[in-house]
This record gives sequence, C-alpha cells and structure tokens, in this order.
Amino acid sequence: MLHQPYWWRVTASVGSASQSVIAGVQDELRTLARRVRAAAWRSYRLSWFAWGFLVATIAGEGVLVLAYFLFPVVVTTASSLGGMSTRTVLPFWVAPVTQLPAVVLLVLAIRELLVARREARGSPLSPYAPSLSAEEAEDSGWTSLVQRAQERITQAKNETDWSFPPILVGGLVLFELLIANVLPSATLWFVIVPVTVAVLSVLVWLLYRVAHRWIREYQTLLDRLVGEFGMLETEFFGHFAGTQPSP
Amino acid sequence: MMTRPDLFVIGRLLEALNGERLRRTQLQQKAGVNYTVFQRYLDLLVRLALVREVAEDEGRLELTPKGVEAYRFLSEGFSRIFGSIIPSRRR
Repeated sequence: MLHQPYWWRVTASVGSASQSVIAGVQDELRTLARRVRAAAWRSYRLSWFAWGFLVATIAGEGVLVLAYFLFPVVVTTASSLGGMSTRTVLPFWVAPVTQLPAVVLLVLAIRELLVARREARGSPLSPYAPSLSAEEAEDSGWTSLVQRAQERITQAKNETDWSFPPILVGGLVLFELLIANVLPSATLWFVIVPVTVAVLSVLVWLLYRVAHRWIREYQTLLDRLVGEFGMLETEFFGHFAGTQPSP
Repeated sequence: MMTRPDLFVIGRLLEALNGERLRRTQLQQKAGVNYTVFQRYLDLLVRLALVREVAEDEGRLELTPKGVEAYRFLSEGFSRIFGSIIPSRRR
C-alpha cells in the first residue's frame, strides 16, 4: 500500500492557498518543525528504553544466578552407568519472571521506532508529544525555525544511533538465554551462539533500517529546503537590493 | 541582533500589503510580527523602494510596482521550492 507522503500535503496546501502563499507555507513549516520535535522526542524515549533494556537484561541475569541459591530445585537422575546423579535446576517460572522487564522494554523500544516512522509519514502525533516552544511558535521568520529543526534531527540521529549498542548487547544476553531454554540440549558454541547472533543480526538490521529511513527523510527535506531557500535569498537580494542588506 | 534579513518576514509584509493600503498598526497585525521586527523590516522595505507611504491617504502604506514584482517573485519562489518537494522515495 502506498502511504500518503507528508510532503504531498505541504505542496497541496500551498497550491490551494494562492491568496496567502507565504503565510500558508509558514504554517506548514511550523507543522513540519513540530513533527521534527516529536521525532526527536521519540528518539529520546527510544534511547531510554534501549538502555533500560540493557540494564534489565543484566539485572535479570543477576537475579537468575541468585535464584539458584534462593529457590534451588534438586533433580536426581539415573546415569547410564547405573548410578544416580543430582543437579540443581531453577523452577520453571524463574526465567520468564526475571526476563519479563527486559522483554517489555525491548517491545517498547521497537514500538517507538515504528511509531516514529508512522508519524513521519503523516499519522497524527501523540497528544503527549511536545509542542513547539512559545518562542518558536510565535517566530515570524524562517531561519531559527529551520535551524532548530535541523539541530533536533541531528540530535535524534545521534540518540537513535546510540540506542543500538545496548539493544545489541542486551539482545545477545536475552536471546542466548531464550534459545538455551528452548533448546536445552543444544551446545553453546555450535548452536546457541550462532543462532543467537543470526536472530539478533536480522532484528537489529531491520530496526536500524526503519530508524534511518525516517531520519534520512527529514534530513534530506530540511537540507533541501535550506539549500533552495539560500538560493532564493541570493536571487532576491541580488535582484531587488543589489546586495544583502541588514535590517 | 539579526545579521541577515529573513525572507519570510519580508514576504509576510509584502503579502499583507498586496492589493491593499494599510496603516502601520494594521500591517503589523496582519503580518503577525512584533513591533521591533516590524520597524526594522519596514525601514528595509522602504529603503529598497518596495513599500511607500501614501501621504495623501493618511500615511497609509502600499506596495510600489517594484514591491509588487518582489511579492510575485517571492510567492512564486516559495511555491516552486515547496512544489519541488515531491518524494521520490521508496515507500
């Protein structure tokens, strides 16, 4: 299905409001600036969820080790040589309970990425998304509005980039544990580690692709606007002032 | 202090005066700019001969022919820039 691009609506509204082209464009720019701010807010939340996920996986592993001492279950089995052997295992509920916070945080992080992409494509923003500051909302110019949006999208890119290392490390710990539980007889180096790395690589690659697509769309748009407006300014002042005066 | 005139502020003032004569206060309100910015930019527009005061109409402001041309230039420029933003991205 083709999504209606957000930029299309900008173009459409400019075309239809021929009596107030400049005011119409400026309103759309404010809407764009608000969307960029909301995107930066999503990146900020993503970063918190990603680092929270790493902390939760490490804490979960710690609790898991602790559970061996607190809730040990001793299992006795007959060995092939006729003797009996005992080993300590964990109650079945320990692993799910200790890893639940990590799973929830990972789901929340993935959700942030998907919602950010949807919002970049023109879906309504969350009512909790921050609005423009009063200064920005009242700004009658173009420069500060767009410069601020560019700064925000750069910051969003940095925060998103730094969200992937904790997802990767936390994911290694979590998936290793999950796969070891699903395949209890699997060997660590020949099955668990390769499967973990494969599953995680696919997941992280998909998430990274999603994140960078919407960030790149905003960056490309803003860069283009700044470039084309720069040319328009030069043409305008060259033609109507013969120079670039300061008011 | 502003070092470079903002084309949007210039555009809004020219747009507000397009086809109309307005008093200063009316122009400031219609363009939606604060008084300090308004004064600076109005001085600039008068200096560039894009806007003039009509003495016989209580000092109301109007666009000069050069101002009309400048407004057309800007509105076409803005439309062109936004009109060109049609995504060629994969969806």
